[in-house]
Amino acid sequence: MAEHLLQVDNLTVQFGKTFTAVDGISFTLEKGQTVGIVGESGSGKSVTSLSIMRLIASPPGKITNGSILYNNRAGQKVDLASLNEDAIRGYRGNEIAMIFQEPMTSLNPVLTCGYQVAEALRLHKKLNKKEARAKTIELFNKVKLPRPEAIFDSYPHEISGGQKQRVMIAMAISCDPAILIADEPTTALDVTVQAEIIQLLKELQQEHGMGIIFITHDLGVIASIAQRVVVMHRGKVVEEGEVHDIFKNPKHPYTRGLIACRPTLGRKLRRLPTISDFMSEGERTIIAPNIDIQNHFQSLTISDNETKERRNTLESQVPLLKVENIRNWFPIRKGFFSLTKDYVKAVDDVSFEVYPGETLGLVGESGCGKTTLGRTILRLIEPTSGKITFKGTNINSLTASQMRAMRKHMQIIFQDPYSSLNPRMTIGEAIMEPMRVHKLHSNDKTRKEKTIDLLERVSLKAEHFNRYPHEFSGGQRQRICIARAIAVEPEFIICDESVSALDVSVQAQVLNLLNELRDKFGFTYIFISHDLAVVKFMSDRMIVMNKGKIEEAGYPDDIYANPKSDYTRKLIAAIPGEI
Amino acid sequence: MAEVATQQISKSKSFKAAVLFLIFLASISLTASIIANDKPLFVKTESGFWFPAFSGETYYNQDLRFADLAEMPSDTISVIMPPVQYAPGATDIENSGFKSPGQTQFKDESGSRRMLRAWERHHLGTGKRGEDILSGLIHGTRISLSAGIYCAMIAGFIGILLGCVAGYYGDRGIVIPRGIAFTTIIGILPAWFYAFNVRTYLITADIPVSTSTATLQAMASIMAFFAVLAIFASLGLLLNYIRYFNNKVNFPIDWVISRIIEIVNSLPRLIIIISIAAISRPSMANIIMLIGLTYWTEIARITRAEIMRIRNTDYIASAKSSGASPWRILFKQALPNALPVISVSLIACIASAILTESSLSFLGLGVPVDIVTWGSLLAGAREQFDAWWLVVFPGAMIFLTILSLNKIADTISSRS
Repeated sequence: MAEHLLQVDNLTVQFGKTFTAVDGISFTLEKGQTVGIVGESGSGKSVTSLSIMRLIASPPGKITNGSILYNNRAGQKVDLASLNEDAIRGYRGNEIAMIFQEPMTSLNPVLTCGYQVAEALRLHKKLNKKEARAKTIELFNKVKLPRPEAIFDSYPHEISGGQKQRVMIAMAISCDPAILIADEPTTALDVTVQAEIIQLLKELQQEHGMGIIFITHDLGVIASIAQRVVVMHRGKVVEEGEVHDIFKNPKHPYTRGLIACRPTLGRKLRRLPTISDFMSEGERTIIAPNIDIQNHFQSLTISDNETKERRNTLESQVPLLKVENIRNWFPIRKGFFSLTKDYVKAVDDVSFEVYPGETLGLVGESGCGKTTLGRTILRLIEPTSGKITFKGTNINSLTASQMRAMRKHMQIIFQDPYSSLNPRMTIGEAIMEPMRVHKLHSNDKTRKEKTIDLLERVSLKAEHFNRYPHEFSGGQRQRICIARAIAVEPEFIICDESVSALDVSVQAQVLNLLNELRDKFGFTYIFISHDLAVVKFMSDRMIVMNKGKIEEAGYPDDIYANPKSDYTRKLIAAIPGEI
Repeated sequence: MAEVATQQISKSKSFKAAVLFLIFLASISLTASIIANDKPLFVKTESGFWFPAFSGETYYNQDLRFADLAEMPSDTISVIMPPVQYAPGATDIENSGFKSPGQTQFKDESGSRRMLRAWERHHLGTGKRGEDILSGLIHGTRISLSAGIYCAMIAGFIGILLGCVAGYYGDRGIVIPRGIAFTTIIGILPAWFYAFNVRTYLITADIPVSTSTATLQAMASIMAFFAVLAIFASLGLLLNYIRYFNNKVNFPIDWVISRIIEIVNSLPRLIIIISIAAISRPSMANIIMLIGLTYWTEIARITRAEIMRIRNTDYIASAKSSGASPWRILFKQALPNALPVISVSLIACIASAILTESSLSFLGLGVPVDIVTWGSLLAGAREQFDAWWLVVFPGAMIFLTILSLNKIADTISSRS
């Protein structure tokens, strides 16, 4: 058998004395090949990649067993796991490069983008200033950055998230590495940008013949880039093989769950399958009823008649919310006297209605104005002009105190579950606070009972009442946010990218929870997302937004089957991994 | 993460030492009159018993003082003296003229001069009039700490309030009818007049009685200032019937407060304090108030910046969308998150207030002559350069206190 480019053998990484993050995993990577590592948060996939670079924090992390054999440029076999610190530094960035999840934080905000790339070139390739600049601009061209000269001199905050990730890729490939490790490089990005970045990585791979290790929580993404896939669960490899085989015939129930839980465009489901449909976990054992994915999908599909009926009953009602000609223009002030020179038209002349009990989907790329629109409806931002009628009241004419009373009926769930909970409040307090504001329930004792009831309703436990947010995972935090939003028994909830920061498997659970709550309490949702597949799954009607305007509106099935604008087609094409 | 941080803190020895030292100072200042006093703690005679040190009781119409022990009534059964048998600043003629800690010290007992016994000595030496340095240090601790804490209270109250309002509302947060804006601006003058001119008597009358009530009166004055402003603001509601006054205008509260901070900051702080202290009646409360009223700007600036950062987080937006009122959001959600940073500046304020108070009493400005402070002990060394004990001991106290406070502030700021 030919030499492998990288051969990870029985790798074990421990944190402290007790916690084994990676438990005896093995896989190989060939030249010019892409291996995908898939798993949920905490499955050990990032620790694996950091171990190859020997970047795990040590102590407490330590490679306790196994080898990482790498065939270096000189044709020697080296074990990265046992190299000393000086030797491994020669490989980092030079032969093995890495790109990270968060392009916002992995570039230094006080240095220009070009300087940071050029710096790496001067360090590793010993180029002088002028050569480094020329080479950087060449690299920027290669990663298809628009106006490379301008971006060379711009600071990270001046360019978009997708562009930052391209700068990171340029930096990673600057020394022509043999292996590129991409740790969730597209998770923080819009699906459309994700599709572009994946396309770029494929092209670069063909050109340079690198081996790529692509790490993600989303099996769908893997399908569009990798040849081989390694599925990790709790630090162990549960399944490994060719991408086609795994998608066609997943053997492990966990893999089946991961494949099934991603919302897809082609199906209309009552609820999303979750991993717990396929397996339930004990302390050490996994109990898995043998469920076939296709049959499972079949049992969850909604018939056309059912959809039609639901539409008819919904639309025969009086609209709960009416938005008329909403505009939100932000002035651009320039010069010495701060005169208004122009406007950013974040929301431009948008009108729609929402019926009680309905979910209205709002889809579009970052910066299309969907978040501003959501916040304007709640009057967290004042509109420039237009009229918002909620339950027959024009909410723009309400005074501040009337508006505060009105907020009992309208709630919002934010995107980032990390920043939307006050770090210095226990989650019990956080959920009780809105009840106190609106003086719901007579005293704190009944409020506490109610809070515990809410916690259980969103699958958390009563004992979580006195814990602080930092003790919870992203999915759990989002459940807490949901519990807080429904604590005041609202009628209308805006979900602003509420699942975008979550793993696909957790996303499925949260989406199901939102739907369950809607059916039980009759909530009305506006569901905002950049992912058309998610919006299509959630909504009864859907609006596609672009540059502050409504591009297209209608029933999700119709829009999917027959998109009218190019923009919508682009959004549909960006959804990865149709199964 | 938080657990790791607390572990690191408890591991840091210098932080522990700093906290212990401050606890030590606080307990000294609370028990100063028991530790160092020239009156006995307990006197028992055949006709009854007394606690002169606690109650200031006199016996036979004269102070029961150590110096007069010989003249104690003949029926005295037992006397218990405090560990340090001198009152701060009390004259001791026998040992006057700068006696060093090691020097032979004398006592006049019924006309004959004898050497002091070991426990009766001036352990840290004496000053010009024979005043005991140790006793002065012990009582000075109370003055310094209370000066620091009261100053921080005044400065913190103004600083946090203004900082919160400026940071939370910003320049566009307050939109009010023109009438209210008018009457509020007009109200500033009468409010100032009532709070700080009419009430001056109330504040200063309390000064000789107790520093703490005077501080409370000063804080009441500040509240009265805002109360009068509120009354004027509500008068503005009446103007709402006139159309011109009902138009909404943007009140740039952040701009106004920031300019006030800049103006106060641009005044040379120590010179202002010195010049006002020079013309006003010397009193501790005056000094404390002056320091407090000039040191709030730093706290206000830091609070403003911190609240501005927190204002843009999602949990504040979420509190807004749940219908909480601005004040509720400010004090329940925003302020607790700003507290670690604010507490650092509060501690720094305590430290600089102690330092300012010490330098003022060193200069002998604004502090009553009969009050012994660390600064006034230091000042004694100006008259006699060889009296090293007048420099070393008070200087070390000031140095260690400031060092401990800074260490604590440092640790808090590196943790958050």
